[in-house]
Amino acid sequence: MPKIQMEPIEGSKYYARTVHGGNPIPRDIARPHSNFDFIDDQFQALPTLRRIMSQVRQHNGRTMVIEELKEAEDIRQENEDIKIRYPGSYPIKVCRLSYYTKEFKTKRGLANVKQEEFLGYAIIKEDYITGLGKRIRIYESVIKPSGSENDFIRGVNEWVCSVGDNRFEIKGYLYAQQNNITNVCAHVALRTAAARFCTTGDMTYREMNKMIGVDHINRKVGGTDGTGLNTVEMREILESTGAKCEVIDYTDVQEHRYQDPFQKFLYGSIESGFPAIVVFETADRPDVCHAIPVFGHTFNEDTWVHRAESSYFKVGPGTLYIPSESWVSMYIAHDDNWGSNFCIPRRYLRTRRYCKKLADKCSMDQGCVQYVIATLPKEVQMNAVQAEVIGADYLFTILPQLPDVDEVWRKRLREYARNNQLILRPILLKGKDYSEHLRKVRDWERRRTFKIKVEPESWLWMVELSVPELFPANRRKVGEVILLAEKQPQHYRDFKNFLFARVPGFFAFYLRGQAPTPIYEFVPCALRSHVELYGCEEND
Amino acid sequence: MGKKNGKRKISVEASRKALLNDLRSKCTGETITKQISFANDDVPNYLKWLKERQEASRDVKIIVR
Repeated sequence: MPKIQMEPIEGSKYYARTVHGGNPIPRDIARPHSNFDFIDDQFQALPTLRRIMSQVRQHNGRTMVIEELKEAEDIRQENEDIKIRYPGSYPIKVCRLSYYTKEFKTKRGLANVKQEEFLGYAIIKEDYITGLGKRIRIYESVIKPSGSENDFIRGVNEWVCSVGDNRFEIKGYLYAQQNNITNVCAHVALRTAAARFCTTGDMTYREMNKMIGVDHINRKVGGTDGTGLNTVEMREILESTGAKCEVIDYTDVQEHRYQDPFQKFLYGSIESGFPAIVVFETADRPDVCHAIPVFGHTFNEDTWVHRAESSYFKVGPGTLYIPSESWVSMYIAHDDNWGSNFCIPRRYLRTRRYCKKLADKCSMDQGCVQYVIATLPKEVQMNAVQAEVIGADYLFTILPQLPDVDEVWRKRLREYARNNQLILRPILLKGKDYSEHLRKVRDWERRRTFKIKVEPESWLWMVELSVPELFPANRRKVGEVILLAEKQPQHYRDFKNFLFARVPGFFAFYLRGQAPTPIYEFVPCALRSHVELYGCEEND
Repeated sequence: MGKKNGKRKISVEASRKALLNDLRSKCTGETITKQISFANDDVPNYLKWLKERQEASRDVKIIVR
């Protein structure tokens, strides 16, 4: 794998978001100011800016600061590359717009803005491209996500933005729009995802292009004769940042439903705070795909979906359960063509169906998911789907054979298991986070367990076990299995990943013996009913 | 035992044993030892299938632009 040639990324002059701007001009954007008029007049009715400013309106933004930027290093690199691709091209303007809930009209007012009054920024770049004319786009933007209590966006970066002599911070996943000259949608999706793994700043388009040999002369990515990126190159670029990519291909349509729905890979990463990229067909050109980064989801506690037969995940004839992903209502994603922080209905994206009549892919399906790139930290050897089914294997085997099965919760769980109504949720976390979680949780009668020490820096998969009346309503669970995530799982049962399981009243440890008849030791545990899910602890 | 990336690596067995001993010393009731039998091979079969499918997916080249 080629190593990234690292450019100098230190210092405020490197990124357009941190470079010192020109004269900052505050502008009142409260009603009756019209964002439509402003964007029509100054930014050629740019649709992606409309989306950004509509989010600002939702956040009750009252002031915008406009700055014209001098060349930052990342912008200079792009301009240089554009000139190689289309000689004679030149940059026209780069503007940084920043948004605030505070009303102010002067630089002094800007200097007194509190951190929590900052809503984010957008950098707009306009170029003249030889033969193509004027091009305008959002070079990058981070806008505060909606903040609804049913939105779950984990693993966000904190971005620093300079405005005048001030520095503000904003949390979110960076959005960018392709120029379709020296970068395409694959680059911008990678930029969003790669930032999760970059220790300083984010990855530039030049770094990505260098890695895969794009010089804009012999190999071009954008424009009418550009070849874009392929999925292998996307994986290699992302892995160079320290991500482990879990990829899955859905181009080969099968007669039966896929046994590994793409949502499981998507959800498995984003629920633990790691982004994924979805690659799907475009309606106008089926031979070329579009890519979007997905980094969050919404949760619908009253959904009916889990009651539908089709929502069961069937590992095999004897192993069926309800994935916690059934309560996802929307995925939260950026679409570089249209803007940031969109909600995409869970069932809107789908893989292509099989047509029995044609004995081939359904010709009526369009815009289908072709490929998914899910990410995890590079140390993690077990993916979310493996963790979930391995967790199911241990839990569903232990539950019916627990000591004293007539105890109320053990009895109930046996019934839920018999009716395939158990819910599993895989979460990747560090050992120290699990120890802290167990320290905080209380069962329904407010009992707590003793402190336990798990290796603090080890990555673990915690596969949480719940039932349909607990999981969505009061966000509680009845147990979990803890798996060592840094060990490559085998398809046979070797117990190398299994640390222990916690079920009502017991911790279960593997003691000795081989599958299929191992010996376990059950250690009494004070938690005899249900406790809070990870991230929902009441004793924070 | 060894060190990798500055992190102390302990074997699974040692880690599990240390944790079990810790819990044994803290719990108030008696521990119970029991044989637990796996009922089917659904998961091993699925994992084998998934591994092959993911390996094949790694080399699939789809043009994205």
